[in-house]
Amino acid sequence: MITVLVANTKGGCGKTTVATHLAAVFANAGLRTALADADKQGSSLGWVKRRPDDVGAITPLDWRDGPGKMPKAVDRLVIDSPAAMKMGKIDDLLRIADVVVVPVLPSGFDVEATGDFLKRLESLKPIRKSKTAVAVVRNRVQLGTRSAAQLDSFMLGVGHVGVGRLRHRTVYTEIAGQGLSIFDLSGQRNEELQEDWAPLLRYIENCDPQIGKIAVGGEISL
Amino acid sequence: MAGEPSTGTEIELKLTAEPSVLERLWQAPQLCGGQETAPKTKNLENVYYDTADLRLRKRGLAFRIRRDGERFIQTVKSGDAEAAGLFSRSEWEGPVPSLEPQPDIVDDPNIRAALGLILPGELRPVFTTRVHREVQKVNGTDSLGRLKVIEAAFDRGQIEAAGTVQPLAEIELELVEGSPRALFDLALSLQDIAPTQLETRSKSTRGYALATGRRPAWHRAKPLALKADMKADDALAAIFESCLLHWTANEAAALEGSDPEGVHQLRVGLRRFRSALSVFSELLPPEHRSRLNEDARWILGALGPARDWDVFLADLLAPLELNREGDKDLAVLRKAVTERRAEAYAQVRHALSDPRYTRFILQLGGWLEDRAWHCADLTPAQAVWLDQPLITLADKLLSKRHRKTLKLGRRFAHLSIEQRHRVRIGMKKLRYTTEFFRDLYPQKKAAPYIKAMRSLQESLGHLNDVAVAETLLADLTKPQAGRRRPAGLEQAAGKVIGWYAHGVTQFEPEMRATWKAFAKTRPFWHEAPR
Repeated sequence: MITVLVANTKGGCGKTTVATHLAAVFANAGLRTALADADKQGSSLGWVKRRPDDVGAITPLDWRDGPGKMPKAVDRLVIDSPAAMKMGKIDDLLRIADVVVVPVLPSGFDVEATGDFLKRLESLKPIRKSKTAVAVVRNRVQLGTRSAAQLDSFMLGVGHVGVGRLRHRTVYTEIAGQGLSIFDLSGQRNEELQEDWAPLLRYIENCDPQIGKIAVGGEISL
Repeated sequence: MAGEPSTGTEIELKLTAEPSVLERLWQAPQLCGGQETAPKTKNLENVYYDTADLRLRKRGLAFRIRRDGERFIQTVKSGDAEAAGLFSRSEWEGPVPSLEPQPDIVDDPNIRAALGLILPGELRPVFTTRVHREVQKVNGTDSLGRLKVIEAAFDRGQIEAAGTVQPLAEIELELVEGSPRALFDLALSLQDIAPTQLETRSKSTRGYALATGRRPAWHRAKPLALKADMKADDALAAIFESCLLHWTANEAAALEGSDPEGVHQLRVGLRRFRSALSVFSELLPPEHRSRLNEDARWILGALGPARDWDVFLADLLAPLELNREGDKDLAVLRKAVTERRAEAYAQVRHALSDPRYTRFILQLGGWLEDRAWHCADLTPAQAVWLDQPLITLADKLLSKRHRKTLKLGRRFAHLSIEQRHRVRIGMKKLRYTTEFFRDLYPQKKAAPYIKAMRSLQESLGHLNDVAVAETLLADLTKPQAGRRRPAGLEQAAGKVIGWYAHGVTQFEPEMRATWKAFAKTRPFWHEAPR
């Protein structure tokens, strides 16, 4: 099982969008997927409830009062963390996570707040001891804009490699109300958007605790 | 496999040798020679797929599509990592329309989960095997009269990857019905006709090696999952099997020889095996134990010089070189030792392809599969012990070893070097015993004891440094007919021995202190009465 924690103390950076999309892509691939909502607003829970029957099924977990019981036989667990999360609270969630995904928006305020958040993350034990990987994903990026370029230099600054960038599209907000993700839609435009997620998804898949146990390593050109 | 997806476990043994030897074996009465029907022949093409970052490989999976005439069969095998099982793998199989991989049709939830997320178009061919396969069903009874059905396949062909081609020839024996013992028996009887080697690498392991150009990896022992309340008998089987898997997983790295860890890990596996034989000696029929012990000792001995010279170069000579930069005598010594090391590795390759080694593994494999220690020679008392919960046995064995070591080290400060060597060896045995059993006890309780034991072992290790240096250098500087000793060699030998002999006197206070600390440490097990 891989446990993915989507977190950033800065609100409105797209945590729920990222969490629901990750859950959807895993579920659609036939993996047994659970989405735990630790945010008081319960947006992820509502999204799962609205999810139609003909797309990949996701088990909702209500973790608004803290981490609850784990269902048996889950292949991927995605946790949507609360905004303005206290660091003490995140500690519990970090302990069970294999990878932390930190969405960041290309605005000056967001970049600054995220830098602080990443610094605080690094001081926590599981991250310091490299037991938990951190992936920073650039969200709502408008290619070619100045803020996009600023975000790139920020990524270099904080010493975290950015894992992919998600382009800004209104479709994300349009379909959220129907419990859908772009991974549930077909068509060339959606498929192009789906490709934005590939680097992040590959990164997460490589955080599988099963992977480190086998000494192979290396990439090959196919 | 009649067009329906299926899941199962396969148990197989693979034999390799020169193609001409395999040809001869294939005609043996035990295989084709004794059968009424002619073998079926097929030409098979297997394409193996993975993601660019080789996630499937890293997860211990092999994903292939086999073209068999007009049919395409997709197979996903788990447990296919180099260090995984020697003889047993689980797999999913189902028909597909073409060579286009279809991960989404895998309907076994566990194998599906193992595959993880695969993005569209991410699976690409990594390597291809092409073989001409002859298949023959071998029916009959095994050595104990039980029914057996074995499918024997003779594969000849090649593996192709990244523009390189490697020949492939092996006889695969797969158990269809009966006891796994039958496989080992058949393979053993074939050794009487022509000696072969056991191929412990899967075709996919060889293909990946070819595709990535990576040298074979070495492997540590897998953690033992022993439980306090399991039967001693089950623990025995698990421990022996883990040793066998550990050392055979390191064969390829040892044969290749560029990383000293290969031979080292292989020897660690064999040494653990021998110490398991000694730890459990009271529970095994003496004749079984001594036969297995003899074989293990033989192969360990053949691998010994390679390990000794590796250690000499890295741990004994290198520190001296750092302190005496530009010393010409040491350079002469390094050259002489490097030559010896190469000879020792030739001996490793020779021993691992010796028929005795193949027989040893086949006999041990069959013995383990059948738990053949349950035989007429087993005494009623032994049978009772084997039926006990492991923790009872562990308490008893740990107490015994602990007391023995304390006795050897009594009046430590006054012991001669020779006597301290005996303490060192006693510690080594104690260490193996605790490593087999430590997981049965709370980690917090065991940690101080294991720490004290390690510190003592480390400081006693200095004794061994000198002993090893003396033996090896005596061997190296010994006059040999037809060989001229290079100038400076004896001077260098003197420098090395002097350095480490002096080191031992320096370590005397540390040795005494670590012994004292160890002797005071409380056992973490429940001490059994004498």
